[in-house]
Amino acid sequence: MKKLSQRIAIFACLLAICFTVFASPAMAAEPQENPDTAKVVYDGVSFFNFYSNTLDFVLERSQSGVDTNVQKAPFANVSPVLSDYLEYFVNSTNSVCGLIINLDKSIPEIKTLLQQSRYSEAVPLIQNAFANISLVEYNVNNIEQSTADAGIEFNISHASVTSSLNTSYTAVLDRIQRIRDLAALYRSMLTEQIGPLTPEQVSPLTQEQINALTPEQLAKKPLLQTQLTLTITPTEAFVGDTIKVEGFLSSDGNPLGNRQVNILLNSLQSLTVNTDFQGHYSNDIQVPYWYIPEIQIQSLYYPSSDDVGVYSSVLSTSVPLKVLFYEASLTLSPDINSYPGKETTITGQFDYGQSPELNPRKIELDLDNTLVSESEVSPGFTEKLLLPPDTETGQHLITISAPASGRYASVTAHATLNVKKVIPVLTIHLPSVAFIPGTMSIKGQLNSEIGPVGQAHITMTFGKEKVDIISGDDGTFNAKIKNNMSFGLFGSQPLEFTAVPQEPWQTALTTSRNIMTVYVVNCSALLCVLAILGVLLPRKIRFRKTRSIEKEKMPAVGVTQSEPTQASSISIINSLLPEEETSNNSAPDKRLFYWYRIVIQLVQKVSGVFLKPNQTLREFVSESCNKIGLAGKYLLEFTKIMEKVLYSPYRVNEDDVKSGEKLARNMRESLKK
Amino acid sequence: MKIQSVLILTVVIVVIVSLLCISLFPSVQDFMSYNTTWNGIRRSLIDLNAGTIDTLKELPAAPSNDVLITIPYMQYNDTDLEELKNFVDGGGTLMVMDDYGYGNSILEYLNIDCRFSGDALLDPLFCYKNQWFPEITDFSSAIGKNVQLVAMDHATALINTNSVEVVAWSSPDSYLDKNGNEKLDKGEVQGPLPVAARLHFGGGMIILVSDPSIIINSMVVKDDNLLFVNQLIGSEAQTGHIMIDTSHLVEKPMDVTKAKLADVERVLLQPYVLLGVVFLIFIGTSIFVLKTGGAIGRKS
Repeated sequence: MKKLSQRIAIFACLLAICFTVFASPAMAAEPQENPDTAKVVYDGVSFFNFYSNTLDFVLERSQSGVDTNVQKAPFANVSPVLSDYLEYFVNSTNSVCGLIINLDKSIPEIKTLLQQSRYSEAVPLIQNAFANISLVEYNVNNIEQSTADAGIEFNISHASVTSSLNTSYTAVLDRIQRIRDLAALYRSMLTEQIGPLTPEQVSPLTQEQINALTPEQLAKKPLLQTQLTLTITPTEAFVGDTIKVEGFLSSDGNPLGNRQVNILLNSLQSLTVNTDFQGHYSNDIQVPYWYIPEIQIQSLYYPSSDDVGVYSSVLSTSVPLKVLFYEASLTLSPDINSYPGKETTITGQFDYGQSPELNPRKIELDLDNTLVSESEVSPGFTEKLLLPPDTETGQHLITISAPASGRYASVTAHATLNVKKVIPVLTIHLPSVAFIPGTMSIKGQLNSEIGPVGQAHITMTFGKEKVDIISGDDGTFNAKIKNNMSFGLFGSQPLEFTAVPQEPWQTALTTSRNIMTVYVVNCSALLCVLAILGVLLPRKIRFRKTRSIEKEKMPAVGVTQSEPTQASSISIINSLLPEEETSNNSAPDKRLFYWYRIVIQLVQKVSGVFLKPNQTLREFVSESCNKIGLAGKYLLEFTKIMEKVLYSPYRVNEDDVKSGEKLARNMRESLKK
Repeated sequence: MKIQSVLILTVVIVVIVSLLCISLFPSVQDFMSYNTTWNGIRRSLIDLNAGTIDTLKELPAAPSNDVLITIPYMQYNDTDLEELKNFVDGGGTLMVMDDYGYGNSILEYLNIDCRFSGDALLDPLFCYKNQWFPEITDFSSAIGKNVQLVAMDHATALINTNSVEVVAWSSPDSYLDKNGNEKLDKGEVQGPLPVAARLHFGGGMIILVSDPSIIINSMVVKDDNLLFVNQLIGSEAQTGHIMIDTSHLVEKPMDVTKAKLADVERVLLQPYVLLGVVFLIFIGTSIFVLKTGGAIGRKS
């Protein structure tokens, strides 16, 4: 039964060990999906929706929308094959979008030129527009092909008509068709504007006809050629100054009077003047405040009212006007470091070179592209900027711009403002040793590179004790911290120090200092324990042994032959006395020796005289008798019996045992007194 | 051998083997700092040079420039919320990374209108492997041009973002799957949706990210995830300590034990404690010797 229980217990234990070893890792659950083992899924619906979305941007003429999708396309989760199709698609779509936006601009322009009989200017635009339409049609074919290939990849032929995949695919094809229709519309609009080049022509223009198109063909009938001249005086002028423009409009040498001539500055219409009856035109125009080195000036005539279909339009040669203005450079020097909530200084200097200085000059100060202040300053200036307390640390952009003023062009300069928080520096006076329990006095001062850190909230933690104080205006502080009791003897203990300054430009300081700590009470207690263990314990052990001997039972009657005597008293007593208690049935010599051993131990304990090795019993008795008084008499008498037993062939009898016991008891009673 | 002795021996072996197993086997629980497998955050802790805190009471009194990343998978009590508020008020940066947890309770306590939607953000096209791993490609200028792509894992989106500065959006193809059928249905919100935002609060800053999984070991190395987190917490500037709050993560008994073991190990290695243990062993041995009796070196 016992063996069975043991086996069950061992089996249960082995089971528990196995469970402990193998069960741990399997216990944990995995609630989230591991990306490395996740299933790859390519979604056709979203793929074709992306196509539709991109084509919608084309139809909306949103180049930025198309650009965004072009940038995103490489990040789409598609197979490598589809990735190639997608790349082809977005590139083609990007081209189509640009071409359509271009056509939207050029077609009205062509219309205007044709209305103004400016055929020579219209011809290249028309040729370019037709070429663009052809490119749109070519790219739309590519888009359609890319879509069809992607459809095959997604098995579109196996998808049901009402499925989301088929719907999204059809939506792409629908948009492709709309772009194709748009291209056709552009072609018909252009063809309509040009009209049949010959009375017999009924079919649309062929590519060859477009390439060979001439202004005369557009005019449909011969026109009288016109000439237009232009001169400006002077050819150099400051911005805002007035210059004189004049010229002559004629047709085959005959002046064209009372006609409108447009003055163009850099191809933009500036003003309209009328020619006099001799075909001359003249007017003053103000040089615009365009701070650019040169402006191209032209004059333009195009026929209107009765002149339409009679005269051709004409554009004079371009005459350059050198534009003069004053320029300046601006250099900025901000403070090396700036602090949140604190004022910072930016020094600036305008350098006008040989030009006259503008004083005062208006400037605008921007911090991170946000206008902060406006002021009027001299060429050398200093601007103060109060940084908001919540300004983030790091680099910030400072921009100072002086807007254009009359002949002075605008000037802008940038500088980097390095915003940081000041780290306080701690000077602290600590005691070299902290005694626990006790109180520790701590003095110190908080400073930073921009002065003392006043009114800072200081927290000091030493063990479990925490002290909160506020530093003075000069950054000094004085605190007392209690050293509370804890487990430990001595060693290094950290004093945690935290300072939170009031000012936003100061950063908080967290530091610690180690202090040698002595736990006085703990050390004392340990010493006491060691003293108890080291000094009192041996005596305790001896005492316990003595007590155990006293508790032994009385020996029994019996006679045995004693063993041969030995030279050393201690060895004799030790060898003759058994460890276990002596019973009444033991041999008489054993019982006698037992009593004598008790007597010796009693004498040793009371007198403090111990039996030394190689010392005879008589020597021991004579040494100890002086200290035990009357009991010495009993000891001597008992020793004589023992000598007789030890050093002669005398055999111990029951009388000897009785007298020995009696002497031992008498001696104990005597010692008690 | 007595049954009693066998049982005692077994208990001792089981305890020792258990402790060894707990110490040696890696944690496999989500977001655990000891977890070196795919769903732990061991790698992030190293790459971000971050530490962990087991209780919000460990937050520094002067948190200027310090960053606390919290993953609110367990409810916050009022004391915790007050600790978080004090941390941000004191100039710290609090990054709340949540998807389906208790992030909204923090926002509610701080009186911020923005919320974590709690619905799954799915993106069937711009994703890593499948729509549960949406990839983010739209970022504000605050994030910087170096971050082009961030991969998420079982994310959500932010809603009511009028009062915060959104810094990252999901693609237009993404959507919030309200009914959980993993398909875009009528009435479900379609992208682009905000996934990361920030706002100044008190003296500090609060950053909201709608997926904590971007910092797990398997995700932090993907695309520009690590750079994105660094940009959000502004590690290029003067960032102080980065701490990850582990007190609001769901811990398995093994993780709890692991943490306790680590604590015990830390405590035991302190010199005073070591001295105490030696002292106790000395006392125990002395008592044993005294009870046994006899003399050392005495022949029987």
